[in-house]
Amino acid sequence: MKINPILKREIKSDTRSIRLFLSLMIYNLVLFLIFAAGLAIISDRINNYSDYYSWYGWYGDTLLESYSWFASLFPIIALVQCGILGLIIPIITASSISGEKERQTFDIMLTTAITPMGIVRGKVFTAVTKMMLYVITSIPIMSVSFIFGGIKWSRLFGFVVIMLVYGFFVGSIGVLCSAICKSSKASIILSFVYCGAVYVGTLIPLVVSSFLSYNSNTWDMGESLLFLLLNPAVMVEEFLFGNSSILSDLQENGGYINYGGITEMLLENNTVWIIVSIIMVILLSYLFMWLAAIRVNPLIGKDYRRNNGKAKK
Amino acid sequence: MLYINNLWKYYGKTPAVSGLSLHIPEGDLFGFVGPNGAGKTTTMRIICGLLRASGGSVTVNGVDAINNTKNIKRVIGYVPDFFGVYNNLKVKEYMEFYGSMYGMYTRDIQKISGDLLELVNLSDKNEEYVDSLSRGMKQRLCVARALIHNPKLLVLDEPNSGLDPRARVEMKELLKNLSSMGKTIMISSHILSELSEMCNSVGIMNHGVLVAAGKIEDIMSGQAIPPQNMPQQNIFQGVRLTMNVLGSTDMPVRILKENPMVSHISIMERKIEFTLNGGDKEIAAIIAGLVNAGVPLVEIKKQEKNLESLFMQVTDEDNGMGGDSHEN
Repeated sequence: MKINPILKREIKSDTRSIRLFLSLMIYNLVLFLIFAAGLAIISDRINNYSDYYSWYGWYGDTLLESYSWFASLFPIIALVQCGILGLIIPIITASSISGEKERQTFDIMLTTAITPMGIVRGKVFTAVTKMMLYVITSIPIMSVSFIFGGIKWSRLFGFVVIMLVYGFFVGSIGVLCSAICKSSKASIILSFVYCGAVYVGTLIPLVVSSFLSYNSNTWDMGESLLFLLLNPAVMVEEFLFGNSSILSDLQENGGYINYGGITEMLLENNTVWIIVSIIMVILLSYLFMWLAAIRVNPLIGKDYRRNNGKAKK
Repeated sequence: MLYINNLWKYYGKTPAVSGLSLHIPEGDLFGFVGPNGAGKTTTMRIICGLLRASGGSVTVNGVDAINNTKNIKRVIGYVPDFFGVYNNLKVKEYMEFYGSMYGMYTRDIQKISGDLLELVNLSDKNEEYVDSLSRGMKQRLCVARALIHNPKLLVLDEPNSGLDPRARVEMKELLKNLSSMGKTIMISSHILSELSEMCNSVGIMNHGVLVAAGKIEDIMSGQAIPPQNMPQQNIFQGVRLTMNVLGSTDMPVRILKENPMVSHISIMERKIEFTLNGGDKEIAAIIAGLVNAGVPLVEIKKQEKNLESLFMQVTDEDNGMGGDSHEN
């Protein structure tokens, strides 16, 4: 299998720079500090818990169960990672296309046999690869919570897959913005705006349905919840918090809420929801990549339209 | 090899290329000259699939460059006027990267890359970072890069800009070598003396119009076929003469203007330049006429015909496209 040449070159270039290793070190240091703080808080609570029960001379299973609290560090740290990487990836991808233009290497790239989609794919895969580098290097820190049990290998694998999809989503938005904007700063800002638009925009049908059901005893959601399948934040939250996630809470209040048939079917099984959401987020990311490919194509992109908009033969 | 037929390109309402028709045969080293904004780069970018034409057709080695941009990239190697390199790559990695952009296998790239780096005299820099190369070396590396997929046509836009004299000579030798190997090359440059030394044919563009094209010697002798859409004219025929007189230039200029074989008169202090549509016999008649009229003639000499004088004549703003109106 041939590796995308852009991905190969970028990874080669980046691994030669000390910046990548410094950023990895700082990233893991931040995660470690958060993890250590969480560990200290939980230890303190367990100590208090054990003091309380020792007063009554009763330890039993309850105290042992309290050690499973350490396992809750896993979703918390994972969520922190998502937050940090959601900020880092747009910065990484901001100059992916605009940087090539600034370096004056983009025209040469366009005259090679690689397609505009191939260029975009290379840039997005670079972002995903870098993101996975951050995720994988953080596994030793996260695995401290495994000592106390509660985390299965399948869950760890699932976490890596979820992060891969999340990276793909943020990376494709970053590359699209880099293709649209001339400067890296504008690209970063636009990436955050686009990400925010997806996070908030997918909630709008839900809000609208709640307004429509304002005077009613039940909340008639219909299929508005399905828009959340496109929301990578909900996808991550569903995976990390499972039975205590927001959607599970909604389902528990099912007596007051009317769902559409498809929504009800998906809500019945958290795993099905996550799998469908993964597929939808990947499709959405491909849409962004396709738009970026159109934008970088000199014969159909904005430059072409600007040059030919008023053309007459 | 390259056929351009009635090519048009508009930027908004402004035509950058107006009805350009051109043919470059296989193995030709074609010089594309013209002042800034003449439409050279636009034409080259259309050929390379970086710009869409507003009209007309471009065919390279039988491939339609306008409608089949995917395949055109495999038959063209392009060196733009301004380009960057990936400084944190080694020379061999730079070549490997571009080879892989054409879907080539690493072992093939390594073999071809070695030969190309030897051709551009950079084989000893194989393991060095691109960052450490001089401007001239980077330019030669870019030519080697453009040849990695063995294109049929090499398009170079101002490859000598910003190079020192030594690097320019090296680039010229490289292009001559490539031409002798049978590679078809299209090169634009402002250094006309160099172009005339290495190119076997040229095209001169002005205001988006191709005003002359053909073998250099044919253009000089006035035997080149005028490009399409161009009126028949004799701007490349005749001789350019320089004359020095004592005192006022009014009388000699008046005499010259009265002669129907004289055109393109320009005056600088006591020096008069003009084009005479004729040979030695007509020159002798002009001298006799001036002397008989009492013009204090100090010197009269033929200007050497070269691409530079031709370019100046053709692209002269006041003369338009080289019409035979008098100027003074």
